[in-house]
Amino acid sequence: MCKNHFSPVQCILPPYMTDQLVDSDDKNLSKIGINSKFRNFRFRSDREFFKETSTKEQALLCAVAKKPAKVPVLKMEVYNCKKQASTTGATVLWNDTSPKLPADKDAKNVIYAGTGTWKFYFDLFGRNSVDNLGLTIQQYIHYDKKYDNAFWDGRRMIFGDGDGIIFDSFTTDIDVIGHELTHGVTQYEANLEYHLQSGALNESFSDVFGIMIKQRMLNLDVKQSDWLIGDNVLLGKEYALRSMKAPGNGYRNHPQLGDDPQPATMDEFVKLPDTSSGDWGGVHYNSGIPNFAFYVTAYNMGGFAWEKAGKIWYAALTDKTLKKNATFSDLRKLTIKIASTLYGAKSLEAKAVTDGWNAAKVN
Amino acid sequence: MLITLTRTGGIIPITKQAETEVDWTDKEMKELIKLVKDEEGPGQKRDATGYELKYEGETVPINLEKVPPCYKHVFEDLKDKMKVVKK
Repeated sequence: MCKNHFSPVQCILPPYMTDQLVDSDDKNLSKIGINSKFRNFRFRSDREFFKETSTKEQALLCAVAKKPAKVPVLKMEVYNCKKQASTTGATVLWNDTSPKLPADKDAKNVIYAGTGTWKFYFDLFGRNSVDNLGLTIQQYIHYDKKYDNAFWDGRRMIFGDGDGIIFDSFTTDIDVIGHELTHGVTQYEANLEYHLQSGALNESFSDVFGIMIKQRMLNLDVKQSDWLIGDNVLLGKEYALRSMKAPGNGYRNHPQLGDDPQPATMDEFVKLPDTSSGDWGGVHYNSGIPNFAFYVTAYNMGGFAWEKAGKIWYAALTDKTLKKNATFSDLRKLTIKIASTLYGAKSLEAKAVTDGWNAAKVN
Repeated sequence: MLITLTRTGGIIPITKQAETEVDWTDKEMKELIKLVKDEEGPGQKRDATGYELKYEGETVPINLEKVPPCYKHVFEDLKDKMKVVKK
């Protein structure tokens, strides 16, 4: 006999058997019999009902309740390098399960800006972290003694404290932190080669998203933003690492650094050797050109930069046709194409992108 | 022998330099260079800084993490003394 006699599906007894059970002198068997008859009736009536339903009604009734998708969450760790020029001996200062924020100011800065960066990519583009697979954001602070730099090493971000004379801590600007994290995003997307024009585009994407991350966190529209990268990192009120609005004017007549060498237009393109000392063909110099194109585009569109211009640039960065060795001209074509697809070929947005590249004299 | 340590690269490309006199023999220098020579390109590093060592007309990219302990203090002193080269 069926072991699971309480299951109407697994234990469908023929009517002559249930009738016999109901008539039995054993009360328990009678009970099983009547229950089975009742279930059989319901099963048959259900079957009758389903026979009359349309395919759509059946699909609706049979839809299996899906498990709610796991909502992506930010995963972050902050490490203290304790002024060593290595990440090997660094100790965990904070992670996303820590109940409260650390007292360390630099740690607070990287947590704040790192969170804003993650939210920027997730809220606007549905991107889950640097790799879009939920990679834990690892930020290493207090690297080396008086180290005046910040960099992405292929897996994590590393920040120096600055020398305190020319440079403040490299955690003091949201855009610098956003810049470094965006190098990670670029690595997992177009992976633009880090030299010559593709390297300058790699740098420019980091500035473009770095500035938008700051603008969004501070709620600044294109007119309110100063379009400066590293405004606080480079000490002195009148200095910044770079200006996207006026490349070459991040700093002028700086007592130690002299003048900002960035060009704004293609006719001023800087030719340097493809070596470390040549800045890999001037990647931090010539990024001024696509930076300026983006600034003009976003400014002419108005409002918040991330709403339209940022959307177009993100679509370009994640477009499979953007090659590793892309040139400025390639990005021009791609962003105009994307703007035309999103807003129409004769739209103001497509015109703004074209005007932006024209202003930077990129054909 | 006069040696010059130069740092290049970074989120804004600045050049920093420092020099010092050392009493290393040519043989010693050759062995040191063999150990610390850095021939890697940027790889996946972005905005990173790099170091070069100049000695007797030669300039070699080096990795400071590979410097043997007995020479560490010389390079640490050079790093501390580095000044920005104004362009």
